[in-house]
Amino acid sequence: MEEGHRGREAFWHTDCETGAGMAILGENIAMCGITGCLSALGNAEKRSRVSAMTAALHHRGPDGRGIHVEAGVGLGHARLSIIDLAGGSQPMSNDDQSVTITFNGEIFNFVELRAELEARGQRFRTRSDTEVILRLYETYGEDCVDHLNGDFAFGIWDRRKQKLVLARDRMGVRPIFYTQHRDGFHFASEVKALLTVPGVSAELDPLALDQIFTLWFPLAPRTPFRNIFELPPGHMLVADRSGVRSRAYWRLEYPDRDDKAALDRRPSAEVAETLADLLIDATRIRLRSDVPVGAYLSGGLDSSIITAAVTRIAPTHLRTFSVGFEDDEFDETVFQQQMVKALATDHERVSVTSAMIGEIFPDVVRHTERPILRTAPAPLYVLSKLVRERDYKVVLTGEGADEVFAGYDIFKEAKLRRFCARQPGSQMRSSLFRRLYPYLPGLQNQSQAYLEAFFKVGLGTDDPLYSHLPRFRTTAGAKVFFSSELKAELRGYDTLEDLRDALPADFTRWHPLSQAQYLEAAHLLPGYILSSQGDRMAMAHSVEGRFPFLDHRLVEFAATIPPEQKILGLREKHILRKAMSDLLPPEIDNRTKQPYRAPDSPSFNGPTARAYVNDVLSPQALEETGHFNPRAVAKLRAKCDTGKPLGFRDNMAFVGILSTQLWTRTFSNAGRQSQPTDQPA
Amino acid sequence: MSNNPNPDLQAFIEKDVRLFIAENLTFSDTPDELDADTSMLEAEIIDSTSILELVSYLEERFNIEIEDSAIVPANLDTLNRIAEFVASRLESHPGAFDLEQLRQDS
Repeated sequence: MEEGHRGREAFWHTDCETGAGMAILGENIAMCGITGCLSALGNAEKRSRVSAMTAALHHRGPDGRGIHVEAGVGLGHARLSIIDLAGGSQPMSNDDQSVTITFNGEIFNFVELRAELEARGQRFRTRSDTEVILRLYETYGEDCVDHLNGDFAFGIWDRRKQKLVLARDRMGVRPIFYTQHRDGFHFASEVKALLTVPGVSAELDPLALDQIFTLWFPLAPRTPFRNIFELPPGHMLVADRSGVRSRAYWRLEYPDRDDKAALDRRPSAEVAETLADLLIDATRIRLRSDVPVGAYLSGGLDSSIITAAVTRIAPTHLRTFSVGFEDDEFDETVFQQQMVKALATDHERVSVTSAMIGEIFPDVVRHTERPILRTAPAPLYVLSKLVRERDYKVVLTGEGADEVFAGYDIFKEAKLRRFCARQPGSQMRSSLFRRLYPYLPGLQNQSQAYLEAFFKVGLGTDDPLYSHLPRFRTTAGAKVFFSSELKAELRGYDTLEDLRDALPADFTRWHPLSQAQYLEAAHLLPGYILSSQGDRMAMAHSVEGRFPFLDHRLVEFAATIPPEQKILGLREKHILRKAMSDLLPPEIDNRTKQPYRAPDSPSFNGPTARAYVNDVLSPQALEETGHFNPRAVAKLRAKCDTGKPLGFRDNMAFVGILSTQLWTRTFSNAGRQSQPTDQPA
Repeated sequence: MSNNPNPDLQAFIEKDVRLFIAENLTFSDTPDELDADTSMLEAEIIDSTSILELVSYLEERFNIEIEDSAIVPANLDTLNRIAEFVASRLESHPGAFDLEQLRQDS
């Protein structure tokens, strides 16, 4: 987004096209926030309004604001100055001022797109990727998004057609929220900007709360804020005099399981080679930056692969960062050190304690802008702070590999459940569940009967949500804490039916693994991982995450890889390991997967956390908000106070109740109100 | 299981465990709502963690040992089954418990 300043460019310029830990000439970075409105208000009033909205996104872009106002529209941009600008400031208009854009994100293929446009006769004023989108729009109109490879959210005002176009990247890395208000349509990167608009208030949407307490996230376009919506990933929205319409321009799709020709049936070595080529290229273009690029190194397979790929592409001293935990149950430091040693990165680790999580949790909720059922975002908030303090603003991470290449335990669990369902009562089959979760001591001594029951082996396998039903049902157990009023309001509502209704028409014809992958990649990934754990935690400290595994070329290719090459037996991400094995030390390749987790309820036992927990979970506070049953919450707190470890459901309930109370205190200061929920565009 | 369960003892156990479940697993103010024949697996009350909580409570409260092979739904999935199972364990170890003492401890 920003035009490079010659002095700094020269300092960072290297001979290689991309450079980890360094920068290349004339490219850009866009850690920003965007805002805008379509309104009949006067220009001065619009300017004031957009300015206030943009100011609320100060953390995303603290170094400057740009406002564009003309009849009917206002656009805003909060900018983080990496280097002085020569011509990349935003909002940016084309030559005749007929098209104006405000843009957050990165277009990783902008070099190639610019060359193509120049070959077609387009002339550029700047070297920014913002202008590439602008010129693409001039050339292709709304179809410009089809050409973009990147993480983006933008608003374009087309003066001639008097329409506002919003678009969001395919996987949902960058956010856009919007609301239709009495005097106009408003949009912004985060909800807190919309809440500055007079008359827009934060009221908890009870259906969204039910969804969060079942799925971990609200089903887009719904958000926890009543009448405030999120543009779903891969979607475009057009607002003009005739109204507001949104449509998908891209969808994650998998082949029909009976269509053998749709799968890549080449020998696995060839598939792996294609995969490796794509991943290396996805990483290469994500190193395009005019500031140094670092990497997160968790010690797991995915971030290790990305780190290894970076060091192969740009063999420099890569700066890597990681989170460590004082509690061995969550800590992966040993594996991080193995990779650091193998790749000779310049590594820094921040140690996170339970007390730290408790202390920062209210800030975390202020940034997630939604109730959360786990504390896992909190350590990433600490990590992005460290990155920012070290003057790094861009990090590559391994996010997305588990969704795209089937790495999560839930995929193997679903496969095993189907295996057991074919022969209920088989002791051998059900005993495999113990192997699946070696890090869960509670499962190791369970009888076959209980194992089968816990994993719902007896459940019919034809439910489209089969793979995730045990998780959803366990999570939904936390709804026992809902107040009787909230339960009454939700009577007859079924989150899972809403999710089933949102599935693609041909979903049931996909392979079971593809179905499970879709639920993760199209829903949980944007709804929780990329938002609550991703963009919002990184942007809280003006850090931009980049995710090579989520390059849409790789995602689309991976969808054609035969399921048995993703999970071979019970070995997850088989084809990915095969493709990248020569980059990794054997101890990383062979290690047992450990999911990223953080301490939950024990994080709130320290004195700082205790003070606010006592406040927001007091019977009076719970009565005021009206979301939860105070007596039931008191019992849960008493259970927490025994010091005994809580199970998944109780932990999720505690964190979910606490974060909902904090959400209400932070954003609304108002209790539950019974009103119909509007439907989004 | 005992062929001649002590109805008083079973009733006591059922009530005692019912309260434990309400306080610790369902967080309910109305423990009597749980039907004594309701499957706690199907009602999503028992999961891989709460079964351990339940077994731990039964062992401590009634001073019995429950071996892994006995941790099965046939013994523990409903309040009635739990009451019958625990009563049979208590009755097979005469002197290991005193119902009046348990009542006083409640």
